[in-house]
Amino acid sequence: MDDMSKTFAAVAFAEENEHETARAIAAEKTPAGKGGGGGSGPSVLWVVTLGVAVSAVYGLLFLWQEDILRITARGSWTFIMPVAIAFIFSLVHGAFTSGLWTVCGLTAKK
Amino acid sequence: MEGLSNFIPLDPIGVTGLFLVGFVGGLVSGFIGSGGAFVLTPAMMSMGVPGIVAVASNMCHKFPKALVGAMKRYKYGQVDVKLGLIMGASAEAGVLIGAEFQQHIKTTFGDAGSNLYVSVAFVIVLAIVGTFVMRDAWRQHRQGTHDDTADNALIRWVRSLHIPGTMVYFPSIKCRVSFLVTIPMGFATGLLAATIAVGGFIGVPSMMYMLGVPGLMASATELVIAFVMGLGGTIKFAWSGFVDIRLAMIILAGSLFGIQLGAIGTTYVKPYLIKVVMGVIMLMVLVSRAFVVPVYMSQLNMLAPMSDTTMALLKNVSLGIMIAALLVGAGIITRALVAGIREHRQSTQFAGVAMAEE
Repeated sequence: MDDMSKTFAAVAFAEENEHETARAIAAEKTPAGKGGGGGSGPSVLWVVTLGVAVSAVYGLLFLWQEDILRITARGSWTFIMPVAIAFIFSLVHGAFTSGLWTVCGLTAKK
Repeated sequence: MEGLSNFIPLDPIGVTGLFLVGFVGGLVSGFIGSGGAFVLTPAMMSMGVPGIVAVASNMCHKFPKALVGAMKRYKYGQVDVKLGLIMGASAEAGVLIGAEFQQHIKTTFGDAGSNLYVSVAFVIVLAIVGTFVMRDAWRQHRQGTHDDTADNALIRWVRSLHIPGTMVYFPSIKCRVSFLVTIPMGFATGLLAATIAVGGFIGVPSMMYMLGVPGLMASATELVIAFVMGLGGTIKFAWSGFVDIRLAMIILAGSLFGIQLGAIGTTYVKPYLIKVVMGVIMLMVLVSRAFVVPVYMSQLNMLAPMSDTTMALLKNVSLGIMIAALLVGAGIITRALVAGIREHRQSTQFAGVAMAEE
Protein backbone atom coordinates (compact mmCIF):
# COMPACT_ATOMS: atom_id res chain seq x y z
CA MET A 1 0.00 0.00 0.00
CA ASP A 2 2.96 2.33 0.45
CA ASP A 3 3.56 2.65 -3.27
CA MET A 4 -0.09 3.32 -3.87
CA SER A 5 -0.41 6.05 -1.27
CA LYS A 6 2.91 7.53 -2.39
CA THR A 7 1.61 7.79 -5.93
CA PHE A 8 -1.67 9.29 -4.80
CA ALA A 9 0.23 11.84 -2.76
CA ALA A 10 2.42 12.66 -5.78
CA VAL A 11 -0.67 12.99 -7.97
CA ALA A 12 -2.29 15.31 -5.51
CA PHE A 13 0.85 17.43 -5.10
CA ALA A 14 1.05 17.76 -8.87
CA GLU A 15 -2.13 19.79 -8.59
CA GLU A 16 -1.54 23.49 -8.73
CA ASN A 17 1.80 22.67 -10.30
CA GLU A 18 3.56 21.59 -7.11
CA HIS A 19 5.83 19.48 -9.26
CA GLU A 20 8.89 19.72 -7.09
CA THR A 21 7.00 18.20 -4.16
CA ALA A 22 5.35 15.66 -6.47
CA ARG A 23 8.75 14.69 -7.85
CA ALA A 24 10.23 14.41 -4.37
CA ILE A 25 7.43 12.15 -3.17
CA ALA A 26 7.32 10.07 -6.34
CA ALA A 27 11.10 9.65 -6.32
CA GLU A 28 11.26 8.44 -2.71
CA LYS A 29 13.00 5.12 -2.30
CA THR A 30 10.45 2.32 -2.44
CA PRO A 31 10.33 0.25 0.73
CA ALA A 32 11.03 -3.45 0.72
CA GLY A 33 8.29 -5.35 -1.04
CA LYS A 34 5.63 -7.29 0.72
CA GLY A 35 5.60 -10.97 0.24
CA GLY A 36 9.18 -11.53 1.08
CA GLY A 37 10.93 -9.78 -1.77
CA GLY A 38 13.36 -7.98 0.44
CA GLY A 39 14.61 -5.92 -2.52
CA SER A 40 13.87 -2.34 -3.56
CA GLY A 41 10.27 -3.01 -4.69
CA PRO A 42 7.43 -5.48 -4.48
CA SER A 43 8.32 -9.03 -5.50
CA VAL A 44 6.90 -10.52 -8.70
CA LEU A 45 5.21 -13.20 -6.61
CA TRP A 46 3.43 -10.57 -4.53
CA VAL A 47 2.25 -8.73 -7.64
CA VAL A 48 1.05 -11.99 -9.22
CA THR A 49 -0.81 -12.86 -6.01
CA LEU A 50 -2.51 -9.45 -6.06
CA GLY A 51 -3.28 -9.93 -9.77
CA VAL A 52 -5.03 -13.21 -8.98
CA ALA A 53 -6.97 -11.51 -6.17
CA VAL A 54 -8.02 -8.70 -8.54
CA SER A 55 -9.13 -11.21 -11.20
CA ALA A 56 -11.08 -13.11 -8.55
CA VAL A 57 -13.02 -10.09 -7.25
CA TYR A 58 -13.79 -8.86 -10.77
CA GLY A 59 -14.77 -12.40 -11.82
CA LEU A 60 -17.20 -12.62 -8.92
CA LEU A 61 -18.63 -9.17 -9.70
CA PHE A 62 -19.41 -10.14 -13.30
CA LEU A 63 -20.53 -13.64 -12.43
CA TRP A 64 -23.17 -12.19 -10.14
CA GLN A 65 -23.70 -8.90 -11.98
CA GLU A 66 -27.43 -9.30 -12.53
CA ASP A 67 -28.09 -10.30 -8.92
CA ILE A 68 -25.95 -7.46 -7.63
CA LEU A 69 -27.66 -4.92 -9.92
CA ARG A 70 -31.09 -6.18 -8.91
CA ILE A 71 -30.21 -5.68 -5.25
CA THR A 72 -28.57 -2.25 -5.69
CA ALA A 73 -31.34 -1.02 -8.03
CA ARG A 74 -33.78 -1.42 -5.14
CA GLY A 75 -32.02 1.46 -3.39
CA SER A 76 -32.58 2.22 0.30
CA TRP A 77 -30.20 0.36 2.66
CA THR A 78 -28.71 -1.64 -0.21
CA PHE A 79 -26.42 1.41 -0.70
CA ILE A 80 -24.02 -0.43 1.62
CA MET A 81 -23.22 -2.90 -1.16
CA PRO A 82 -21.73 -0.48 -3.77
CA VAL A 83 -19.90 1.46 -1.03
CA ALA A 84 -18.30 -1.71 0.37
CA ILE A 85 -17.43 -3.02 -3.11
CA ALA A 86 -15.80 0.32 -4.03
CA PHE A 87 -13.61 0.24 -0.90
CA ILE A 88 -12.52 -3.38 -1.33
CA PHE A 89 -11.77 -3.09 -5.06
CA SER A 90 -9.92 0.18 -4.58
CA LEU A 91 -7.60 -1.35 -1.96
CA VAL A 92 -6.86 -4.61 -3.81
CA HIS A 93 -6.58 -3.15 -7.29
CA GLY A 94 -4.61 -0.09 -6.14
CA ALA A 95 -1.96 -2.29 -4.54
CA PHE A 96 -1.79 -4.46 -7.67
CA THR A 97 -1.38 -1.66 -10.24
CA SER A 98 1.17 0.13 -8.11
CA GLY A 99 3.27 -3.03 -7.81
CA LEU A 100 2.84 -3.85 -11.49
CA TRP A 101 4.33 -0.58 -12.77
CA THR A 102 7.22 -0.90 -10.32
CA VAL A 103 7.93 -4.48 -11.42
CA CYS A 104 7.75 -3.30 -15.08
CA GLY A 105 10.46 -0.75 -14.28
CA LEU A 106 8.31 2.34 -14.76
CA THR A 107 9.27 4.58 -11.89
CA ALA A 108 9.37 8.30 -11.28
CA LYS A 109 12.41 10.34 -12.26
CA LYS A 110 14.91 10.49 -9.41
CA MET B 1 -31.14 -7.27 -17.63
CA GLU B 2 -34.92 -7.11 -17.66
CA GLY B 3 -36.31 -4.61 -15.20
CA LEU B 4 -32.98 -2.85 -14.95
CA SER B 5 -33.68 -0.01 -17.38
CA ASN B 6 -31.11 2.37 -15.84
CA PHE B 7 -28.24 0.01 -16.56
CA ILE B 8 -26.75 -0.72 -19.98
CA PRO B 9 -25.98 -4.33 -20.93
CA LEU B 10 -22.24 -4.91 -21.00
CA ASP B 11 -20.59 -7.07 -23.64
CA PRO B 12 -16.82 -7.65 -23.96
CA ILE B 13 -16.53 -4.67 -26.35
CA GLY B 14 -18.35 -2.41 -23.90
CA VAL B 15 -16.18 -3.59 -21.00
CA THR B 16 -13.00 -3.03 -23.04
CA GLY B 17 -14.24 0.41 -24.12
CA LEU B 18 -15.02 1.44 -20.54
CA PHE B 19 -11.69 0.09 -19.32
CA LEU B 20 -9.85 2.13 -21.95
CA VAL B 21 -11.89 5.23 -21.11
CA GLY B 22 -11.03 4.66 -17.44
CA PHE B 23 -7.38 4.19 -18.32
CA VAL B 24 -7.17 7.43 -20.31
CA GLY B 25 -9.25 9.22 -17.66
CA GLY B 26 -6.83 7.95 -15.01
CA LEU B 27 -3.82 8.84 -17.13
CA VAL B 28 -5.15 12.37 -17.50
CA SER B 29 -6.05 12.50 -13.77
CA GLY B 30 -2.62 11.40 -12.70
CA PHE B 31 -1.00 13.81 -15.11
CA ILE B 32 -3.00 16.94 -14.37
CA GLY B 33 -3.92 16.11 -10.76
CA SER B 34 -7.64 16.47 -11.31
CA GLY B 35 -10.39 13.93 -10.77
CA GLY B 36 -10.69 13.06 -14.45
CA ALA B 37 -14.47 12.83 -14.13
CA PHE B 38 -14.74 15.60 -16.69
CA VAL B 39 -13.56 12.96 -19.18
CA LEU B 40 -15.26 9.92 -17.64
CA THR B 41 -18.83 11.23 -17.22
CA PRO B 42 -19.25 12.45 -20.84
CA ALA B 43 -17.48 9.35 -22.18
CA MET B 44 -19.90 7.07 -20.32
CA MET B 45 -22.81 9.13 -21.63
CA SER B 46 -21.44 8.77 -25.17
CA MET B 47 -21.63 5.00 -24.63
CA GLY B 48 -25.33 5.24 -23.80
CA VAL B 49 -25.23 5.45 -20.00
CA PRO B 50 -27.95 7.82 -18.69
CA GLY B 51 -26.49 11.08 -17.30
CA ILE B 52 -27.59 10.49 -13.70
CA VAL B 53 -26.15 6.94 -13.66
CA ALA B 54 -22.87 8.24 -15.17
CA VAL B 55 -22.55 10.91 -12.45
CA ALA B 56 -23.56 8.48 -9.66
CA SER B 57 -21.15 5.73 -10.80
CA ASN B 58 -18.36 8.24 -11.19
CA MET B 59 -18.80 9.52 -7.65
CA CYS B 60 -18.74 5.92 -6.41
CA HIS B 61 -15.37 5.17 -8.03
CA LYS B 62 -13.82 8.41 -6.76
CA PHE B 63 -14.35 8.56 -3.01
CA PRO B 64 -12.06 5.68 -1.92
CA LYS B 65 -9.24 7.24 -3.96
CA ALA B 66 -9.86 10.64 -2.34
CA LEU B 67 -9.67 9.06 1.13
CA VAL B 68 -6.31 7.44 0.45
CA GLY B 69 -4.93 10.67 -1.04
CA ALA B 70 -6.20 12.79 1.87
CA MET B 71 -4.72 10.45 4.50
CA LYS B 72 -1.37 10.45 2.78
CA ARG B 73 -1.22 14.20 2.38
CA TYR B 74 -2.27 14.67 6.00
CA LYS B 75 1.00 12.99 6.93
CA TYR B 76 2.82 15.65 4.92
CA GLY B 77 1.01 18.35 6.94
CA GLN B 78 -0.80 19.70 3.87
CA VAL B 79 -4.41 19.12 4.90
CA ASP B 80 -6.42 21.71 6.83
CA VAL B 81 -8.76 19.14 8.37
CA LYS B 82 -10.95 21.75 10.08
CA LEU B 83 -11.50 23.68 6.84
CA GLY B 84 -12.05 20.42 4.92
CA LEU B 85 -14.70 19.18 7.33
CA ILE B 86 -16.48 22.54 7.62
CA MET B 87 -16.55 22.99 3.85
CA GLY B 88 -17.36 19.29 3.50
CA ALA B 89 -20.51 19.80 5.61
CA SER B 90 -21.86 22.56 3.37
CA ALA B 91 -20.64 20.65 0.28
CA GLU B 92 -22.67 17.68 1.48
CA ALA B 93 -25.74 19.91 1.58
CA GLY B 94 -24.93 20.98 -2.00
CA VAL B 95 -24.54 17.34 -3.05
CA LEU B 96 -27.85 16.32 -1.49
CA ILE B 97 -29.74 19.20 -3.09
CA GLY B 98 -27.92 18.73 -6.42
CA ALA B 99 -28.66 15.00 -6.42
CA GLU B 100 -32.29 15.67 -5.50
CA PHE B 101 -32.51 18.11 -8.40
CA GLN B 102 -30.93 15.53 -10.75
CA GLN B 103 -33.47 12.94 -9.68
CA HIS B 104 -36.31 15.45 -10.08
CA ILE B 105 -35.18 16.20 -13.66
CA LYS B 106 -34.87 12.50 -14.42
CA THR B 107 -38.35 11.79 -13.04
CA THR B 108 -39.95 14.75 -14.79
CA PHE B 109 -38.16 14.79 -18.15
CA GLY B 110 -36.71 11.29 -18.39
CA ASP B 111 -33.25 10.33 -19.63
CA ALA B 112 -33.23 13.04 -22.32
CA GLY B 113 -33.84 15.74 -19.68
CA SER B 114 -31.16 14.34 -17.40
CA ASN B 115 -28.69 14.09 -20.30
CA LEU B 116 -29.43 17.64 -21.43
CA TYR B 117 -28.97 19.01 -17.90
CA VAL B 118 -25.61 17.28 -17.40
CA SER B 119 -24.40 18.15 -20.93
CA VAL B 120 -25.28 21.86 -20.68
CA ALA B 121 -23.61 22.03 -17.25
CA PHE B 122 -20.50 20.48 -18.80
CA VAL B 123 -20.46 22.89 -21.74
CA ILE B 124 -20.72 25.94 -19.46
CA VAL B 125 -18.23 24.76 -16.82
CA LEU B 126 -15.67 23.44 -19.31
CA ALA B 127 -15.87 26.64 -21.37
CA ILE B 128 -15.06 28.74 -18.31
CA VAL B 129 -12.46 26.48 -16.70
CA GLY B 130 -10.90 25.31 -20.01
CA THR B 131 -10.35 28.89 -21.20
CA PHE B 132 -8.90 29.86 -17.82
CA VAL B 133 -6.55 26.86 -17.81
CA MET B 134 -5.30 27.51 -21.36
CA ARG B 135 -4.72 31.19 -20.53
CA ASP B 136 -2.84 30.21 -17.38
CA ALA B 137 -0.74 27.68 -19.33
CA TRP B 138 0.19 30.36 -21.86
CA ARG B 139 1.08 32.82 -19.10
CA GLN B 140 3.13 30.19 -17.30
CA HIS B 141 4.91 29.21 -20.53
CA ARG B 142 5.85 32.83 -21.22
CA GLN B 143 6.81 33.85 -17.69
CA GLY B 144 7.98 30.51 -16.33
CA THR B 145 6.43 31.32 -12.93
CA HIS B 146 3.61 30.10 -10.74
CA ASP B 147 2.16 31.96 -7.77
CA ASP B 148 1.06 29.55 -5.07
CA THR B 149 -0.58 32.00 -2.69
CA ALA B 150 -3.07 34.52 -3.99
CA ASP B 151 -3.59 37.95 -2.51
CA ASN B 152 -6.49 40.12 -3.60
CA ALA B 153 -9.08 42.57 -2.30
CA LEU B 154 -11.64 39.77 -1.75
CA ILE B 155 -9.28 37.82 0.50
CA ARG B 156 -8.47 40.96 2.53
CA TRP B 157 -12.19 41.74 2.89
CA VAL B 158 -13.05 38.17 3.93
CA ARG B 159 -10.32 38.22 6.55
CA SER B 160 -11.43 41.61 7.86
CA LEU B 161 -14.98 40.37 8.51
CA HIS B 162 -15.73 39.79 12.18
CA ILE B 163 -19.05 38.11 12.95
CA PRO B 164 -19.21 37.19 16.67
CA GLY B 165 -19.82 33.54 17.41
CA THR B 166 -18.81 32.37 13.93
CA MET B 167 -15.05 32.97 13.92
CA VAL B 168 -12.89 29.88 13.40
CA TYR B 169 -9.10 29.61 13.27
CA PHE B 170 -7.90 27.85 10.11
CA PRO B 171 -4.28 26.62 10.24
CA SER B 172 -3.86 26.84 6.45
CA ILE B 173 -4.24 30.62 6.47
CA LYS B 174 -3.09 31.16 10.07
CA CYS B 175 -5.97 33.47 10.93
CA ARG B 176 -9.58 33.52 12.10
CA VAL B 177 -12.33 33.71 9.49
CA SER B 178 -16.10 33.50 9.83
CA PHE B 179 -17.18 29.99 8.87
CA LEU B 180 -20.26 31.57 7.27
CA VAL B 181 -18.00 32.62 4.37
CA THR B 182 -17.19 28.98 3.62
CA ILE B 183 -20.84 27.94 3.36
CA PRO B 184 -21.50 29.23 -0.19
CA MET B 185 -18.09 27.96 -1.29
CA GLY B 186 -18.76 24.44 -0.03
CA PHE B 187 -22.35 24.45 -1.18
CA ALA B 188 -21.39 25.42 -4.76
CA THR B 189 -18.67 22.74 -4.76
CA GLY B 190 -21.17 20.07 -3.73
CA LEU B 191 -23.79 21.27 -6.18
CA LEU B 192 -21.33 21.01 -9.07
CA ALA B 193 -20.13 17.60 -7.88
CA ALA B 194 -23.68 16.25 -7.89
CA THR B 195 -24.25 17.75 -11.34
CA ILE B 196 -21.13 16.66 -13.26
CA ALA B 197 -19.12 14.69 -10.63
CA VAL B 198 -16.33 17.30 -10.62
CA GLY B 199 -16.54 19.58 -7.58
CA GLY B 200 -12.87 20.55 -7.48
CA PHE B 201 -13.36 23.09 -10.27
CA ILE B 202 -15.02 25.32 -7.66
CA GLY B 203 -13.56 24.01 -4.39
CA VAL B 204 -9.87 24.58 -5.05
CA PRO B 205 -10.08 28.03 -6.72
CA SER B 206 -12.54 29.32 -4.09
CA MET B 207 -10.24 28.31 -1.24
CA MET B 208 -7.31 29.94 -3.02
CA TYR B 209 -8.91 33.14 -4.24
CA MET B 210 -11.46 33.81 -1.46
CA LEU B 211 -9.64 32.63 1.66
CA GLY B 212 -6.03 32.86 0.47
CA VAL B 213 -5.24 29.18 1.16
CA PRO B 214 -1.95 28.23 -0.60
CA GLY B 215 -2.60 26.13 -3.74
CA LEU B 216 -0.82 23.14 -2.26
CA MET B 217 -2.99 23.10 0.86
CA ALA B 218 -6.15 23.93 -1.09
CA SER B 219 -5.69 20.92 -3.36
CA ALA B 220 -4.95 18.68 -0.35
CA THR B 221 -7.92 19.98 1.64
CA GLU B 222 -10.10 19.45 -1.44
CA LEU B 223 -9.43 15.71 -1.07
CA VAL B 224 -11.17 15.75 2.33
CA ILE B 225 -14.12 17.57 0.78
CA ALA B 226 -14.08 15.16 -2.19
CA PHE B 227 -14.20 12.18 0.15
CA VAL B 228 -17.06 13.63 2.23
CA MET B 229 -18.98 14.61 -0.93
CA GLY B 230 -18.16 11.41 -2.78
CA LEU B 231 -19.30 9.16 0.05
CA GLY B 232 -22.40 11.24 0.73
CA GLY B 233 -23.22 11.54 -2.98
CA THR B 234 -22.73 7.82 -3.54
CA ILE B 235 -25.03 6.99 -0.63
CA LYS B 236 -27.62 9.50 -1.86
CA PHE B 237 -27.61 8.19 -5.45
CA ALA B 238 -27.30 4.54 -4.36
CA TRP B 239 -30.23 5.04 -1.97
CA SER B 240 -32.31 5.67 -5.09
CA GLY B 241 -30.63 2.82 -6.99
CA PHE B 242 -28.70 4.88 -9.56
CA VAL B 243 -25.16 3.54 -8.97
CA ASP B 244 -24.04 1.00 -11.57
CA ILE B 245 -21.30 -0.68 -9.57
CA ARG B 246 -20.03 -2.56 -12.66
CA LEU B 247 -19.34 0.71 -14.50
CA ALA B 248 -17.76 2.23 -11.40
CA MET B 249 -15.43 -0.75 -10.91
CA ILE B 250 -14.43 -1.03 -14.58
CA ILE B 251 -13.46 2.63 -14.77
CA LEU B 252 -11.75 2.24 -11.41
CA ALA B 253 -9.69 -0.64 -12.87
CA GLY B 254 -8.63 1.38 -15.91
CA SER B 255 -8.19 4.53 -13.87
CA LEU B 256 -5.86 2.91 -11.32
CA PHE B 257 -3.55 1.71 -14.11
CA GLY B 258 -3.62 5.13 -15.75
CA ILE B 259 -3.41 7.36 -12.68
CA GLN B 260 -0.09 5.97 -11.54
CA LEU B 261 1.42 6.13 -15.02
CA GLY B 262 0.19 9.72 -15.35
CA ALA B 263 1.70 10.63 -11.97
CA ILE B 264 5.04 9.18 -13.03
CA GLY B 265 4.70 11.23 -16.23
CA THR B 266 4.53 14.51 -14.28
CA THR B 267 8.07 13.97 -13.08
CA TYR B 268 9.39 14.03 -16.68
CA VAL B 269 7.66 17.06 -18.23
CA LYS B 270 7.63 20.84 -18.01
CA PRO B 271 4.82 22.21 -15.77
CA TYR B 272 3.04 24.25 -18.46
CA LEU B 273 2.52 21.10 -20.59
CA ILE B 274 0.27 19.68 -17.87
CA LYS B 275 -2.08 22.64 -18.19
CA VAL B 276 -1.96 22.48 -21.99
CA VAL B 277 -3.11 18.85 -21.87
CA MET B 278 -5.85 19.71 -19.39
CA GLY B 279 -7.07 22.69 -21.43
CA VAL B 280 -7.01 20.85 -24.78
CA ILE B 281 -8.98 17.89 -23.43
CA MET B 282 -11.49 20.14 -21.66
CA LEU B 283 -12.20 22.13 -24.81
CA MET B 284 -12.52 19.00 -26.97
CA VAL B 285 -14.91 17.39 -24.46
CA LEU B 286 -16.89 20.63 -24.47
CA VAL B 287 -17.30 20.47 -28.27
CA SER B 288 -18.23 16.77 -28.04
CA ARG B 289 -21.00 17.50 -25.53
CA ALA B 290 -22.19 20.54 -27.47
CA PHE B 291 -22.91 18.34 -30.52
CA VAL B 292 -25.46 16.21 -28.64
CA VAL B 293 -27.25 19.09 -26.91
CA PRO B 294 -29.57 19.64 -29.95
CA VAL B 295 -30.41 15.91 -29.93
CA TYR B 296 -31.62 16.01 -26.32
CA MET B 297 -33.45 19.31 -26.97
CA SER B 298 -35.20 17.73 -29.94
CA GLN B 299 -36.17 14.68 -27.85
CA LEU B 300 -37.71 17.06 -25.32
CA ASN B 301 -39.57 18.96 -28.09
CA MET B 302 -37.58 22.11 -27.34
CA LEU B 303 -36.41 22.05 -30.97
CA ALA B 304 -38.12 20.87 -34.16
CA PRO B 305 -38.15 17.05 -34.34
CA MET B 306 -34.99 15.60 -35.84
CA SER B 307 -34.77 12.65 -38.19
CA ASP B 308 -33.19 9.50 -36.82
CA THR B 309 -30.37 9.89 -39.34
CA THR B 310 -29.52 13.41 -38.10
CA MET B 311 -29.63 12.27 -34.48
CA ALA B 312 -27.37 9.32 -35.21
CA LEU B 313 -24.98 11.59 -37.13
CA LEU B 314 -24.71 14.11 -34.28
CA LYS B 315 -24.24 11.34 -31.71
CA ASN B 316 -21.52 9.73 -33.83
CA VAL B 317 -19.74 13.07 -34.34
CA SER B 318 -19.91 13.64 -30.56
CA LEU B 319 -18.53 10.15 -29.87
CA GLY B 320 -15.80 10.66 -32.49
CA ILE B 321 -14.68 13.95 -30.92
CA MET B 322 -14.73 12.33 -27.48
CA ILE B 323 -12.53 9.47 -28.69
CA ALA B 324 -10.24 12.00 -30.39
CA ALA B 325 -10.01 13.99 -27.12
CA LEU B 326 -9.01 10.85 -25.22
CA LEU B 327 -6.48 9.83 -27.88
CA VAL B 328 -4.98 13.34 -28.06
CA GLY B 329 -4.62 13.44 -24.27
CA ALA B 330 -3.14 9.95 -24.09
CA GLY B 331 -0.88 10.71 -27.07
CA ILE B 332 0.57 13.92 -25.62
CA ILE B 333 1.18 12.28 -22.24
CA THR B 334 2.72 9.10 -23.69
CA ARG B 335 4.95 11.09 -26.04
CA ALA B 336 6.07 13.36 -23.19
CA LEU B 337 6.67 10.34 -20.95
CA VAL B 338 8.72 8.41 -23.54
CA ALA B 339 10.73 11.50 -24.57
CA GLY B 340 11.32 12.43 -20.92
CA ILE B 341 12.48 8.93 -19.96
CA ARG B 342 14.81 8.77 -22.99
CA GLU B 343 16.26 12.21 -22.25
CA HIS B 344 16.70 11.33 -18.58
CA ARG B 345 18.47 8.05 -19.41
CA GLN B 346 20.77 9.79 -21.90
CA SER B 347 21.71 12.49 -19.40
CA THR B 348 22.28 9.84 -16.70
CA GLN B 349 24.54 7.86 -19.06
CA PHE B 350 26.36 11.06 -20.06
CA ALA B 351 26.90 11.94 -16.40
CA GLY B 352 28.18 8.40 -15.78
CA VAL B 353 30.67 8.63 -18.63
CA ALA B 354 31.84 12.07 -17.48
CA MET B 355 32.36 10.77 -13.91
CA ALA B 356 34.28 7.73 -15.23
CA GLU B 357 36.58 10.02 -17.23
CA GLU B 358 37.32 12.05 -14.09
